[in-house]
Amino acid sequence: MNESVLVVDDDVDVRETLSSVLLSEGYLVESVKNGKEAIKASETGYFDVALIDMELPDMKGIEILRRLKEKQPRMVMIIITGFPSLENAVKAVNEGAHGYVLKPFNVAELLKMLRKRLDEKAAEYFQFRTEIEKNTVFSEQFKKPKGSIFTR
Amino acid sequence: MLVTELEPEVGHDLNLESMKLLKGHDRGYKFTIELSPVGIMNMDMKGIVTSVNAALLEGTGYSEHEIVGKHFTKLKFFRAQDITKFLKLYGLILNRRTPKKFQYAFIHKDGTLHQCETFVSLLEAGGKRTGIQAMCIDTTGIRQAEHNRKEMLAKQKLLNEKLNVISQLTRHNIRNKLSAITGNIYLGKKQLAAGHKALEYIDKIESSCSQIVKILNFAGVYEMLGVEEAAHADVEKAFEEAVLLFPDLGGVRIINRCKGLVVLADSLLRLVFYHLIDNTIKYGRNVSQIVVCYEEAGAGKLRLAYEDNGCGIPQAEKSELFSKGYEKGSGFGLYLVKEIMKVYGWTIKETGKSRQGAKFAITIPKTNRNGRINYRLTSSMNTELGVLQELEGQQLTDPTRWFSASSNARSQRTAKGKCSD
Repeated sequence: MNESVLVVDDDVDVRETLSSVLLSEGYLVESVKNGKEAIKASETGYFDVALIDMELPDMKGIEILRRLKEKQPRMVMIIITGFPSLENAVKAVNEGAHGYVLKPFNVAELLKMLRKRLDEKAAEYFQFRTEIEKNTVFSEQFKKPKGSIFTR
Repeated sequence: MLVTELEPEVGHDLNLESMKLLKGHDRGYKFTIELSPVGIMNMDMKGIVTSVNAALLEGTGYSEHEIVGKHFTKLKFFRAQDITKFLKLYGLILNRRTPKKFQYAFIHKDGTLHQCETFVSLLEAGGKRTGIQAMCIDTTGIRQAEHNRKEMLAKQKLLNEKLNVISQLTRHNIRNKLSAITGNIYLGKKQLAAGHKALEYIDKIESSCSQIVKILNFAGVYEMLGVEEAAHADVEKAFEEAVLLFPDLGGVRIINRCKGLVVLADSLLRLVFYHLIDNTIKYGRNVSQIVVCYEEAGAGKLRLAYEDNGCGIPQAEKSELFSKGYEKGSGFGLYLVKEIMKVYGWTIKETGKSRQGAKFAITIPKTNRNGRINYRLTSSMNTELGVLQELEGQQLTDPTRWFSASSNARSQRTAKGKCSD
């Protein structure tokens, strides 16, 4: 199944270009121009990744990141910005961004990063599921009274 | 009141010598009053002007004849609306409740309005009040200059704000459009078969875009130099935050030994560390470890050392290392580091040996240009200093050896991968 990406950027050229690039790489893409639309999109659809512009007319990228994380905690969040600042980069990473990319982005590197983050997330999820299953089996076994213990 | 005027009252108490001395002082006093650049006006108990000096005549534009002998309320240079206030003040002064100074406006004979600051004192002789002396300073020029200065500062602030917004917005818009260009270049290249002639031109466009980005990055940081107010920054934390910006360090081990060190710096300190790490990751070759530590360097100085165990910097390149346009990378990174150091009043030197790793020694003086303390060491530093003193004389070039003697738990972080952004 193709992975889905939500592109959030108020610049139409950036939005269109990113969408075209991602589509050409086989991702499913939905692009929106502000925070409000991004949150709405996350309520109606599932996304594996969100590429979020740091400065949007209605809210900051960090705020969108927080709100999207509440709705879809497994979503990979990458902040993209045309206002580079270390302050913002640190803030974004501390808020849980999986990447901080400066505009203009190197497309090949962005795609590589995207792939890596998605693979890491998938591996994390796989490990989590394995742990859950293991614990479930263990607890099931623990709950089951062993005949020998209860035999007088 | 002059000694000559006092003579009938006190003369019987003074011998001839004293009288001569006092008369000498009297002449000196008259001379001082006459030559004073401050306008001086004496009045008797009734408010009649008894004398004025040259500065007051020049300042008001009126002649002695037009002022002396007249009641002060009749003087033409005072504004009608101020007379009531002056009469009240005159009463206060006579009752020894003298205000130290007061300000008002007066009209010069040429019709121009001047601002004045006046100091008043009660004249007394033999315990009796004899009149009032007013010393007037024309503050029109000073006030005008102050007003102009404030106006200019406000204009400058507004201009700076505008310039800042324009430059940031412009850079932001350029970055957006460059994103569209690079994105479309990527898509265009995908459509062309390998070896297609057009690819050569597209690569050139890409290279130009990359140069524009480097210029934009440099301009953005350069604009911030010396603008932000310096505050006490935790070096260990600043370094950790710089490390965080590299999601992929390619397995390089980070040893941050700056616990307890606080320095006077702005947020660009992180950028200093960022560029040093970036330099290591990009050009260090086979780096497995980065160490940052500090030690007191004697004579009220502190040395902050950053070093890696990569290939080092060739001797031939060292002199150009901090120059703008140094050919490796953008040519701005280490230049910016040096510029930031200049603003802080610190110095930076590359002291490593080629093929043994790069080593940057930052020297921080105890106080800055304004006498503010540049660095301070918290209690945890004492333990570190003990360790450093023990190791005195040992070479810092082997970071593992340098720190292995400390029994304290080390703040270490191993990051996987390398920088991808």
